[in-house]
Amino acid sequence: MATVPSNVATAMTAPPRLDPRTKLLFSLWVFVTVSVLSHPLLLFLVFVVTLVAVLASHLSPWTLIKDVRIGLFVSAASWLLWLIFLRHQGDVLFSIGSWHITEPGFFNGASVAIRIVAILLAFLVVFKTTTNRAVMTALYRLHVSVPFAMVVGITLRLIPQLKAEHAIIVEAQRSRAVEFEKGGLISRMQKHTAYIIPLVLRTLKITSDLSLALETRAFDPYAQRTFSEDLEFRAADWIVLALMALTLAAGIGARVAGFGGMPVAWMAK
Amino acid sequence: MKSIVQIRDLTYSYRRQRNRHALAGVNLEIFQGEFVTIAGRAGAGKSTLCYALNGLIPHSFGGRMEGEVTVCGLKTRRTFVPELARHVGFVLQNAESQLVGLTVEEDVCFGLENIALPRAEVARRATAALKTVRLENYAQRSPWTLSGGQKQRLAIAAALAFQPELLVLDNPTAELDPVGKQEVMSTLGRLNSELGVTLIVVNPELEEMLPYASRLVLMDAGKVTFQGKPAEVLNHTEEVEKVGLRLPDVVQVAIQLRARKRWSGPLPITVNDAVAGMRSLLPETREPHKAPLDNKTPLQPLIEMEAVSFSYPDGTPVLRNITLTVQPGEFITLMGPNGAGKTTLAKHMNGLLVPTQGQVRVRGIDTRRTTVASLAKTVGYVFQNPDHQLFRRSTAQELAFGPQNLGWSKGRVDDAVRTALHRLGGEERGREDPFFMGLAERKLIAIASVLVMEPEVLVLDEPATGADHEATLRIMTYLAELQRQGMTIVIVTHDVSLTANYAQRVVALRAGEVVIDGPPSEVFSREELRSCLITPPQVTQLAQTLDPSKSICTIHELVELLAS
Repeated sequence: MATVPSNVATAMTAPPRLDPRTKLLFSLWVFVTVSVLSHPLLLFLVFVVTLVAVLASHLSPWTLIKDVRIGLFVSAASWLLWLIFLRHQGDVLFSIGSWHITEPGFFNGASVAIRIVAILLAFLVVFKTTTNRAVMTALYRLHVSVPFAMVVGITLRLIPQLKAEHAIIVEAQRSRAVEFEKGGLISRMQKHTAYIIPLVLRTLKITSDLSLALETRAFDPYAQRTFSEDLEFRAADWIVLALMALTLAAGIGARVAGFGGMPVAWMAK
Repeated sequence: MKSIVQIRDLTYSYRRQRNRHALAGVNLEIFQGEFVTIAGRAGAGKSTLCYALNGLIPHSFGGRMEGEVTVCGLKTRRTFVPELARHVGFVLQNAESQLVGLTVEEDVCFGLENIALPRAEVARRATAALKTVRLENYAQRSPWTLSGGQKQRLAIAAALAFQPELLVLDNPTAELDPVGKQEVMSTLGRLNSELGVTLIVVNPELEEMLPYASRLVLMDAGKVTFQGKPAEVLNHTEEVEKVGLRLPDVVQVAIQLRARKRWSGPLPITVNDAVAGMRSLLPETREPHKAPLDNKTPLQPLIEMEAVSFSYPDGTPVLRNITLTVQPGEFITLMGPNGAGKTTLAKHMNGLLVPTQGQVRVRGIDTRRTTVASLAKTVGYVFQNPDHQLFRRSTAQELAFGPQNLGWSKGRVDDAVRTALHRLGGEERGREDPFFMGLAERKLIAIASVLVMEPEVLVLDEPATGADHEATLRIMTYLAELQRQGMTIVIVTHDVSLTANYAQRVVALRAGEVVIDGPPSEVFSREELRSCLITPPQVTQLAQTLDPSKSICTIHELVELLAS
């Protein structure tokens, strides 16, 4: 049987032990804040706050970077595209040979990249430091429906299992002389079907078995249930919640008042 | 005795299979305190019958159900699964598919939280259930870090926590190693004998079940074909064989002796039963066993492993200083408990893993200096689960996949596929979709899809796991035929009977080291075997109890000795 690593790091017990509801609201705060604000400096500040959360979580930075590497790649690619498309707009910030890096290209790209990385880091830190049961209980206490909370919990539970399945399937196809890293773009895409199809089929099988297991354990999304997890807001939670509420209100107020947006000189035309 | 299950004229067809009855007129009554074993070949309807007991049929699976099932006084047609779950504990074949919680304790609590028990009661019952299956010291561990047997015991605890009147287990040991099987079976035995839990266990491994079962129910084609106390059923061997089951070694020995008029008593169920009657059959003159002399000149090895060690990136050692050669034409089994390093060792043979120390050479080529794709021409590797390997819409396409990756010309690929299809039973099989085949067929297609690349060595990880007796025979006959044609076979397995009957050489591992390496008859008689948590085949146990000097590992050898 495959050994499946847990998706929750041992850091889940590390201080500060915030209530799971606070953690979930933090990820929501990051999402809403970076959506409301668009000034690169303010976005950078939100990004710094997520980095503080990373440090406080005691998670290994390398593990986190490994987990968000696709997000980092997408951010970098997006930034690059902004630099390319807006290379003839606005003031030139600096040049690399004949290629001008303009203020609109640089700052618009930076805004998008920071948004992507901040959201990813915030969600990752929260879900890596909170058990599935705590997430489910927190969602329930936040008046999110039980079926939705279960879907979130089960999805989190499936991620490491599917990662292990993926690794086995890739090995099985490599044993059949597939070289995923060789060939042109089309050929490589075709090769990937060799693991995508088995992985999809295995996912269906695993989820179908799991749904049987849930039923045999009397799971009924619409019935009353007990939540054994003890959730309690402490002083640290209230402080974090108050700070989040204040900053979000200030951010929204500032935008309504015409502040916190991208400076006109840096805007794409 | 109080009747706990009544099944009357149960006929059932799955959704979209109205013309095919998975169950066809089943009548069965189970009484409180019984330990009922249901056995039969794959597709006999065993699992379907289990699903009918806890209401998954008809409520979750849909389909068409006729007749009536009453469990603990509740008609399953009118009672929903969550309600029935309080009375019927259910354990599935795959332990991992049932894991819900992030810790062992959380997993057991999940079901109790679903029925809205007070928190204190949830905690009390969870603790008691974990204690019953002896997992109380693992409460805060992640279930994913448990061994296969422990995971299945956890699933049993999760079911027991409901304090059910009936526990139904669908092939709970099918995917476990011998240690895991033993753990689960002794747990079940204890539940039944000490706590009086009524058990219905689907398990086609009679050798495993007979010491515990109070009743044996045989099923075939959706019907109950025969039932009774184990000894009664075994006396109707034709009924047992008709439903595709393998008789325990001791029973087979007794039957063959009976045919030679050397056995007249009732058929034995355990080794102890057999010893008393068979001791008198031992020949007077007992020649000490002599190992056959190996006159073969060693050939150029296909695979050479020199002082191979392997550790995971975090430094956890898996293999330690292994030196091993694989000669052309050998049939080798790699055995040992879970975590001994069998699969890791096998993956070194085709370069999927490379040693952190030492060297592996395939046909003289260092696996670190070549690619897996390149080694695939010499070493074929078949994974345990064909679902990980098969993905194309027809057998022919599946077979062509490997050769295409090797860059063969279209003509050569077509020829190779044609030859492979003939070996599988004919060119018309090329149009079949592997997705809709049974496990044995899918395993054979997976093997063929690797063989088609014309390797010299075929490495298979657990080729018989999950397959029934007939499917195992098909797969092993296919492999034996390949070996006769000159192929070198290396199998990772827990199955001692398969090893005894097919392998020429056994490599037993423990904690990443080779402990014993030799022919099965020699390996199975060695004391060190126990340290590898391998129990010799029943026939070897019987032979050694009769005469410790005997190194016998096949039924044929023992019958010849006793009948001489």
